[in-house]
Formats: sequence, structure tokens, C-alpha cells
Amino acid sequence: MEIDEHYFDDMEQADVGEGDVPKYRYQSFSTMSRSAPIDISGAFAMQGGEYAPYANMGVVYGGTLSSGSQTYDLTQLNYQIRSGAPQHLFVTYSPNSGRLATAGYTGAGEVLRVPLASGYNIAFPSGYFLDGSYYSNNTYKNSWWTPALINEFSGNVANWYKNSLCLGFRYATSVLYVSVKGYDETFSSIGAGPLDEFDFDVYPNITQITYSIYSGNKSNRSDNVTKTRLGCFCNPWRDTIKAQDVRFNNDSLQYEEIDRTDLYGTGYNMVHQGAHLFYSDSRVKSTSYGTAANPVTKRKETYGWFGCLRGLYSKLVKNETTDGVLYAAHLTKEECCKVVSTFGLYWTGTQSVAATATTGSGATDDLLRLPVAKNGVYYGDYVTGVKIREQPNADWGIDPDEPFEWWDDNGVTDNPDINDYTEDMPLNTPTITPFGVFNRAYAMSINGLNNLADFLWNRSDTVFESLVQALKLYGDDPMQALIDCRMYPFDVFSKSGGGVSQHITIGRYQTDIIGLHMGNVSNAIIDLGLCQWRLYHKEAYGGKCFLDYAPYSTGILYVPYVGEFTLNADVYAGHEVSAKLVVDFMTGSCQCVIYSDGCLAETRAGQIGVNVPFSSVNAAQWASGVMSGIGQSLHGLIGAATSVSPMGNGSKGVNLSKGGVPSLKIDVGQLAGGLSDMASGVYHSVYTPLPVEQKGLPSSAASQWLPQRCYLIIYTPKVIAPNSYGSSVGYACEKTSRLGDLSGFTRCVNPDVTGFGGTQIEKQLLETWLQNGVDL
Amino acid sequence: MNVDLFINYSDNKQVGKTLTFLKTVSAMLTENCTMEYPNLILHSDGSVLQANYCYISDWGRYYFINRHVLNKGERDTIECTVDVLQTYEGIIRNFVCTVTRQQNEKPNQIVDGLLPLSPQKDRKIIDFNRTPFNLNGAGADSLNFVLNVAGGGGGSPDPEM
Repeated sequence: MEIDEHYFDDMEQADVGEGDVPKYRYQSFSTMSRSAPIDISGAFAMQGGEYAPYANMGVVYGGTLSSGSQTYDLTQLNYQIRSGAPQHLFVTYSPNSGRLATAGYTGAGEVLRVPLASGYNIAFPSGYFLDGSYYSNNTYKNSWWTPALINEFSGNVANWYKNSLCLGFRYATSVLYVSVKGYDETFSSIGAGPLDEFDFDVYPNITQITYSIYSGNKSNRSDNVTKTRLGCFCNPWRDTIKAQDVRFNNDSLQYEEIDRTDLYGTGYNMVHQGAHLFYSDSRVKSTSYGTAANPVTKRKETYGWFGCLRGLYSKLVKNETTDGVLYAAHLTKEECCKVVSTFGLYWTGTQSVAATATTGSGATDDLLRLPVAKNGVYYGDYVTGVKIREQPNADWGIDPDEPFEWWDDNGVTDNPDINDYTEDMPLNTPTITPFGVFNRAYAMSINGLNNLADFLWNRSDTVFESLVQALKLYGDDPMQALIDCRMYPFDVFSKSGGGVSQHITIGRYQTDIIGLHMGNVSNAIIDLGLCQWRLYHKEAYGGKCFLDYAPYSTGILYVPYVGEFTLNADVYAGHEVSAKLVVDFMTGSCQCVIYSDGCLAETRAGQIGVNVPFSSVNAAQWASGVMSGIGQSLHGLIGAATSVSPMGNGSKGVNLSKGGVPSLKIDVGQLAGGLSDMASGVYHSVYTPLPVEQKGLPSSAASQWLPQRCYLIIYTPKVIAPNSYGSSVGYACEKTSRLGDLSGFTRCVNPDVTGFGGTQIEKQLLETWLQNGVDL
Repeated sequence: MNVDLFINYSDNKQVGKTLTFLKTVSAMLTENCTMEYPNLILHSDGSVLQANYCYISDWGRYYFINRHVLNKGERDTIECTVDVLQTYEGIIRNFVCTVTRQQNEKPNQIVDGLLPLSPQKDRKIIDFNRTPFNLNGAGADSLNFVLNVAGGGGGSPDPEM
């Protein structure tokens, strides 16, 4: 599965309905243009648990990524982003080019699934949304703080981040260190890692950390770009580094002014690695120096941290061509923790904890935090210390030997269901048929046929001789020119869709008898109507009842010119039963189509056209076919009574023997056992249908004397339970209940008598009572 | 020990029986016996013989009196069996069990092999709401016939007449 810029071209916008697994919308960055601002509206949040159980931003497993001399082990990623939180962009990475290949975003309420074969996703999850502001062009503007995580996922990430890693990384440690000291890591994408030059033109909406924060404006790569004020930073740990003030809604905020002397680095083709969360009073430092042409990366302390992408990229792309800005907001410490927790990763604000803390079922450190998901989405809640052990995501990790086992957790499959499911099986309307090809068919009446016969037999000898001459093609038997004539129980002309009034032409001989020439498409579909198979016992007892279904209830459907046949109650009971007849004018046969709630359930063949013989040979052939054919079997309610189940052994009364282990004292159980399956025994004896072979084809002529409409005959059982039945036998049910909530006769199965403090004998007595039935 | 004598008119399988108190008498065990099936001797009189149920407070248990064995000296030996349903009524009502048959249920989706059914079924005949055929009213001019003849093709033959 290759991921390229076209991979997601056919994705559709999701319709997120309740209980639905929606599709997603994805737009390749390759199709984006900075001149055409992208309207990012709405919100979404990444769904953790179900689709990306190991991390909110996705997990990288296996696969191979090569860039230069580096080979990184990456695996597939599949996650979903669903509605509920601010919208984000995400970026996927192409292993072939080593570039960030595609990116996309989701609209409001959309779910995004990005399957990834061999590469990695950089995803920007969010479960938290803050208002903020930014400073640009000497004015403060409202903005959104959309927390984002940009991570480079690879097998060697440990070399870069040490403790700053995400769950699910192979070879990676598992705790994200949220730095209070700001970003000390500058990673140059040139020659030092899997990313090649980061092309702003291609990826205009990626915020980068350089000495200026760009919105993807290529022109800002120059060293002459003036310094950029960042938005405020929030430092929940209250670093003491000096910061300057910015304003946000007239509140004094803290921010760090970043200039080129103490920023991350001078390289402009840089992308911050790891998640970046800026804190107030934090100094954003970098030890990277170099020139625009030759950026040099020096790493000193590697931390993953959270960054921020702007919302309304379109505006910034359009307007902010010189000043890169980072939206920020004033966060309290707890808000910062929530923001970090939306990523679903183990995290801590203490470096040593990140390095040494035990995760999973052995977690103890109160400084270690594990986000808690709600319905698979991380909204910022988290737990610490031993409470981590209770969480379902506490032990998520990747087994290098089973790198794809996480698919079982998040619904990803490599054998997707490719079926198209439907609720309808519509009939077809062919545009051509063999009818009327190399012959002619005429819709006729009795009078018309009699006139034709009169023409053929009773006209003058001259006419007769002319006719015989015209039919020489048929050899010694000119009657072969008359192929067949059939009578149908309906007006064939109106049912067949019309025809042309013309002289009947037999062979080359045109008679002066008028017939309606029927066209090529001649099959007539006759609607036989419908009825409702009601659930009679459901209506009687106020709920669905087994007696309404097979084998207790049965139905016989009679269809004129087809016959009668059994309908399976399991298919039709409770549904609308309808039928249509498809007539074949070529053969006089018909096909009955039976529907259950409008969905085709079965078909049956019949014979609707009655042959009108022309000659003795013709008549004999036809009659022979009727008498010797083997027809379809009929099933009816005919059965020989087999043995009925015995009524039981009778009650043995109470046997209150003393001593030892008591035998069964109350024999209602035995009585019940003897009565067991009485219903089925009766039914199996009386209502087991026996097939009946019918010899001979159904005569459609005789069928004309049978009922001319469909009938559904339903046989449904009668309950003859006496009034005392409930109190002596009880009605079947399968439910778990507190006995004190019930009244009347009650039987239990394998009663759990936990809490019963009687003797063993008493316990056995009690269990026997409960299983045989007690009166509550 | 003291024994409370009752008349029990409830069914033996009743949890929480309706008991009519008769009297409290003094009784002794006749011999070594089990607590679940004690035999007790008590002084016999008319009211004692009416009892079919008793309660032994020392043991905190209720008992069915299976039978009275009358002995010389107006002594009555009652042979008893413990009634767990009465003795542990409160505990029993708190049990959560899987109930398979219940008096107040109705026939439902659970197939009930014990439900008595008549061999004769109810029959309902339903006709469909459409009669598409015209045989009842067709006449000599009704186009109910299809005549197939040799010929065909697109052209028309030269008229022979």
C-alpha cells in the first residue's frame, strides 16, 4: 500500500451518524495552494482507543524508511479523528521520497482514517481548544491555540529524543517528557535525518520553529527576517526565565520573544521535532547555529514537547507574509496538563521520571501521567501514580514480534469486508427478448381468431391455393406456419406495452384479418398484490412469541397458475408478503416472484398460457406434455401422527426420608421432565410437513377455474394452557432476577446460593427447591 | 427445648408461609438425630395432634411435621424435616438467580416445550388485495390470445391478395 498524494483522492466527506463509522475527507497538500486559502472550520478530535489505541497521534510500526544512509523501521498507522475538538491538520510522510508527502484536515464532525503501509504519519491531534491571540503587525489578533504534536516516528527516534517518545514506537521508550525549559533541540532536516528539505511551498501550513515562526512563507527563509514575537507561553512549572508581556484580551501574558540570537537555530528549513508546548516564562533556546545555506544542528538535551498550529491558516497564509506568529494563550498549569494529555501519551514534566518511571501495571510515580480517554477520545483528563495501573491503555505497547496485533484493537483489518450489502433485489426490464424474432406475434380475441380460422378454411379455393403456395417454405405441412396460439387470463395487449394494428401475415401470405402486432419486449409483469402476515401471538401476549414462527406457525401461499406452496414463517411472519408474475409469451410459462417486505424471497415456476391446438398432432403433443410431466412437490399440513411424548411419570409426592443425603423430595421436576417438549412432541407429530409429489404438469386450462387471486393461509397454534398453568408449571423465560422482586411460581437453574449459611444438607435442599420451583 | 407448634396451610414450596400458631410445648429429642431431621417427644393432647409444622427456637429453624407417632403415656413423637424456605426466607429473597420459568411471564420468544398446544391450529385465510385477471368478465373481443405465426423480418411481403 503506497501512500502518495493521490492516495486519498477519493475520500468522501463523512456523515457522522450515531453508531456509524463514517468515512473521512482528506485533501492532499499537493493540491493545496497558498493562493487559495483553505477554510478550516469545525472541529474534530482524534479518537484514541478504538482506532489508535496506542497513541492519539498514531503509531508507527515496522516498515522501512530510507533516506540517505539512514534506514528507519516504520510501520503502518491507522487512526481516526472524530468530531469533538478543534480541527487539525495532519501530515503523512512518504518513505520513498523522504519528504512529508501529504497532509490533510478534517472538517467538523468528520472522522479521518489514514491507513498507512510503510511510512509514518505526523498527526495533529487535539482534544482541547483554547482561545488565544497573537501579535502581528503591531496588533493583537484573536487566534486559536490548537495543540498539535509533530513527531518524527522512526526506529532511531530514541537517538534524538531519548525520553521523549510516544507509546507504540518500536525501540522507543514510552514516556513523553514535557520540557519546562523549552526547546533545546533543533533538528536540521538537511543531511541529519529522514527529512529532506522541508518545502514550504508544498507544505504551507506547517508551523516551523526557526528563529522566526513561519506560516509557510518561503520568502521568510532569509536571514533578514525580523524577529518575530511569539504569543504567550504558559509555564505551569513557573520557570524563572524572563519573559516579556503580551496582551490577550487586556490580560497581561507572558511570552518569550524569540530572536535569532537565542532561537532554535538559524536554519530555515527546520521542522521542530517532537511536540511543542510553549510555556510562559520559558525561554526558547537553541544551540544550533549556522547559516541559511548550511544550517548546522547541535543537539543538546532532547525533549519532545508540544507545538501549536494556527487555526485559520488561510488568513495567515494570505496576510502574514513577513511575520510568522505562533498563536498562544494563557494557560494555567492544569490547562497545560490538559493540553498535553489530549495526546494520549504517557508524559511527565520531570526528566528523570521520563527516563526511569515504570509504566503500565507497575506504575507508581505520581509525577507520571497517563491520559484517560472518554469513548476513545482524549479530552485532557489524566491519572497519575498507581491509578495508572487501572487504565486500559496503561500497558499498550508494541510487541516487535507481533507488530500488527494492534489492528485487532482498533478495527483495522487487512481483510476488509468488500461486500456490497443491499435491501433490494429489483426485477430487470430487458430491452430485447427473443419474442417476435423470426416470427410474428399478434394479440387476438376470440372473434379475431375465429375470423382467421374462417379465412383459412372457409374461403374460396383460390384463396386456399394461394395460401398453400405462399407457405411452400414449410414443406408438406403448411400448418407449420402457425406456430402456436395461447390464451391468457388477461388482456395481453395492455399488459405487453402495446402493439401495432395490422393485417395478420402468415409467412409471405397477408390475410385480411386484423391483429395487433406485438413488439419484441413482451414479458408482462403482473402485480398480484400483497397482504400482511401478522404476528397473532405477539398481539395476544404483548410481545414477540415463538408461536408465530416456524415450526409452530406455517403459511401456505396459493398463486394462480403456479400452485400452492409453503412459506417459511421465519422469513415472512411479521412482514408484508407480496407477489408478482412474470409472463413469458414465448412459452406460456410464468415465474412467480414472492417478496418479503419488498425484498425478493423466492421464485416459483408455473404455466399461465393455455395452448389452443391447431391440429391433431399439435393437440396430442400438448396433452402428452401435460399428462406425463413431473411437477413440483407440494408441501402441506399432512402428516402421520407419531408418538406423542408421555405425559410424565406423575408426582411421587414428598419423600421426607431422614438421614443421609436426601433424594429428590418434591417431584415437580420429574413431572416437568415428563411433560418436557410436549409442545414440540405434539407439533412434531402433527405438523411435520410431508412432501407430496404431484404427477403431471399443472393444467393452465384447469387453472382458469381455480381462484384467480393469491391467498395466504396461515396456520397458527392454539395455546390450551389451563388457568393454573402459571402457578404450577410457569412460563418459560430466561432472565436474571433477584428473587425478592418476583412473585408466584418461580423456577431457577443452577441457583447461586452464595451467602447461604445453612448446613450442607440444607443447601442441597434449597438448591433442589429452587430448581424444582418455589412460590415467592 | 421449647417448640412452637403451628398449622401450615401453605404449600410446601411457598417461601414465607402463612402459619397458624397453636401452642408452645416442651419437647425432647428421642435419640441421636440430625438437626435437619429431628424426632421430638412431647406431651400429646388434641391440639398438639393438629400441628403439622413447628419452630425450634433453640436451633432457629422451621420444620415440617411429617407424622405423629403416638406412644404410651400420652406421648407424641413428631418426625420433622427442616423447611429451608421458611427458615431462610430473607436470604432466599435476596438471591439473584437465573430464572427459567415464572408464573407471571407470558409466552414470549423463548421456545417453551412445556406449553400445551392444541393439535388443531387456527387457520386464517388472507386474500391479496389485487385481482389482475379478467376471465370473469372477458368477452369475445377481449385480447386474451397471442397468436404466433411464421414470418417476421422488417419488410412486408407483397400482398398476395
